[in-house]
Amino acid sequence: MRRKRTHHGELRALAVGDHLPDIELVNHNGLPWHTTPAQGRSLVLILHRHLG
Amino acid sequence: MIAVRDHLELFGDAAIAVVSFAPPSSLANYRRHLQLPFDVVADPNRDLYRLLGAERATLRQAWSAGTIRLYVRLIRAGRRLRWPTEDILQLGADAVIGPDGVIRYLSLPSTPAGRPPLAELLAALKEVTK
Repeated sequence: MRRKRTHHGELRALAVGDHLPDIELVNHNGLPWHTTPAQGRSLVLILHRHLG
Repeated sequence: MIAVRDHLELFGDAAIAVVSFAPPSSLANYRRHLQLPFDVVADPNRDLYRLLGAERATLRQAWSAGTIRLYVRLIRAGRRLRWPTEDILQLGADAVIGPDGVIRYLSLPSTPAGRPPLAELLAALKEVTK
């Protein structure tokens, strides 16, 4: 797996072309939610930020 | 996120998820308030943020001209702003993952106000489905 430096010099694991590992999170209904795309569908992820 | 919600039909059968580092208990209200028709997912440990390289901003980045412009716009539009209770330095990210689980597009803005244009996300999605 490639590791690239961020703006702050920290290492990050993933970049375009890398496989996103499956991570289990919890959705708004409290149900498990996985990063693995389901049923051959693409997945659009919007990682929310807090406006400063 | 709002732009995606308002142009949902352009995303075809792609799954869409908003990921937040807010406590899981706050997500249902947040989703209802913004009338989001897709999943809102809690990542309180920011595992996905770290994996995709979404950084914490410096104060200078957090209070960029773009952020201030955005706040002025919101206030002018009548939005009542509340004092933040969450980490204001956490930056976001946008990604398109192909059906094979491979990251096909990744946008990492350097300020909180930075977001890729909708057309860019859609173009990435179109490439995946070619």
